[in-house]
Amino acid sequence: MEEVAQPVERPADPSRERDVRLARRAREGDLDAFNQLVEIHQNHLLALSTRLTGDVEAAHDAVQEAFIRAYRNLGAFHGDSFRAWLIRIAINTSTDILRVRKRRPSEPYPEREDEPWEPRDTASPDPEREAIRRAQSRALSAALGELTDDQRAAIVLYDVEGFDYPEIARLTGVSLGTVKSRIHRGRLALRALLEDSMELFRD
Amino acid sequence: MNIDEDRRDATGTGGGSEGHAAHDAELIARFVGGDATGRDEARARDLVASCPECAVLAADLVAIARATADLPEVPRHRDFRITPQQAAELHRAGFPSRLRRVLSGGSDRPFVPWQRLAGATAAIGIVMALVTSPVGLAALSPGHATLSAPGAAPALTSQGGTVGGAPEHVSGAGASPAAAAAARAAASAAPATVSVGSSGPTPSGVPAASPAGPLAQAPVAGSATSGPVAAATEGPGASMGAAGAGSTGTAPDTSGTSAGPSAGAVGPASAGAPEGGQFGSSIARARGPGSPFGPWEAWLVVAAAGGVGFLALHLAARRAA
Repeated sequence: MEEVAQPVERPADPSRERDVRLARRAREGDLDAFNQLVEIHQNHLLALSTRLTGDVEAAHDAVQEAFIRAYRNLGAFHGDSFRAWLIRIAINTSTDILRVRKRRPSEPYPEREDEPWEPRDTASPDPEREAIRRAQSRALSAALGELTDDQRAAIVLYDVEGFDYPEIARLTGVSLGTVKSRIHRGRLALRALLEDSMELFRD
Repeated sequence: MNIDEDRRDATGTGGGSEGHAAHDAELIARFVGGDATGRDEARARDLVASCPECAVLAADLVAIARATADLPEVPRHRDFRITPQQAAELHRAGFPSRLRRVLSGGSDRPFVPWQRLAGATAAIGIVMALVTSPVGLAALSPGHATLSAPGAAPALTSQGGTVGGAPEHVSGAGASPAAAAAARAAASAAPATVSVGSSGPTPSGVPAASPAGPLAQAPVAGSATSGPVAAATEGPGASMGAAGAGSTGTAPDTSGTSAGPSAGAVGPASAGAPEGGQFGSSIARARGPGSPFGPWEAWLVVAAAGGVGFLALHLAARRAA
């Protein structure tokens, strides 16, 4: 095979200063500034939380709680990345919710047919491609739900959120080597889980 | 566990050349993730180039990573913005929750019973420290309140009896005019002492100002310094010294010979008690004569108890978290 797989490239985040400015204003009592931060981060925080909890409703609860905790503790934000700080809070709230769900399992993993994190119905130019994309999304979401919490968090933070290893290590409080190991083993586990549907992902 | 063991655990395979099953899948994963360097990278390249299954594995891992990154957005059906009403509620709840977080070492978990006990100890200590502070004592002292500026010499003058902040105190019958004059001078020279109070029908003119307790014992020039007079200082408004007009260091008459009912007594603070001022008098009244603690020491002990309780609570909460 001629083409050797290349490492995945991740985009950089150019909006830290804006976030820090808004956070400073919010800390001084500017509610609009805080709500701007909410608008900026709520979607990706919800995506993160949904992938961590595997449940959209639980993810909504976790994100709501994360923003409330963030607002209450704005004075504790002294870093240079509001997004990272917010994500750390969201990881904690999502983990709390996961812990509660494990103690009190109410329902199994949500119905795949009603999977709410499918793309919105938009007029796709290529219905077949869109159908494949949906199938990919379902299969991958189900497989992510089968990973251990640690592996899932590492993969989501790396592949979805675009954090690098040191950032993930700081966010999750583990060593760099542990982060790498979780990501690599998690990907291998995903591949094993997706064995039957890997054709969906191959070009 | 070394990294080779890790790999075997993860993949169920070890290094070797008996076909793909023996190839190191995690090495391929590290290579795909850009984390294989040096010899590992060379080995991985070799595997991907020579083993079709390893090549497929590498391509699959890249495809999975891309698909994960491309997972569609989750439709949001809630507005997470905080309304002004919510913000007001959060602000109202802000101080207790912040205090609670400080006490709990940053944890939101509820306190366990023994942490409550530590909290109660800390609360008692803090309250005691506040109550026994100079401000607290001034507020609690019946009938008077006197605040001395820090470092103020305990110089208060009253009719019929003067005790200055100066080393020479004159009081009571038998005080010579010269001594009285000296006391007057000493009193007027004393740093600011604010006295608010009234002088009750305290027997004065009796020789000596001798409040209860040795700490309040005033050095007195002249006649007797202690004895039954001590009771005179215990009346309302008497102990802090300012008598009559509530003067401060400006007693019109310090002869000390007028044993009239209007004469003020010399309070403990004004009696030249060197430590604690008027606050010391309350402690002195509260404690027994044989107590080993002076007022400041007592206050420090109470404050330390509060601090220890607080520390215990904080550490306990951190440990529990």
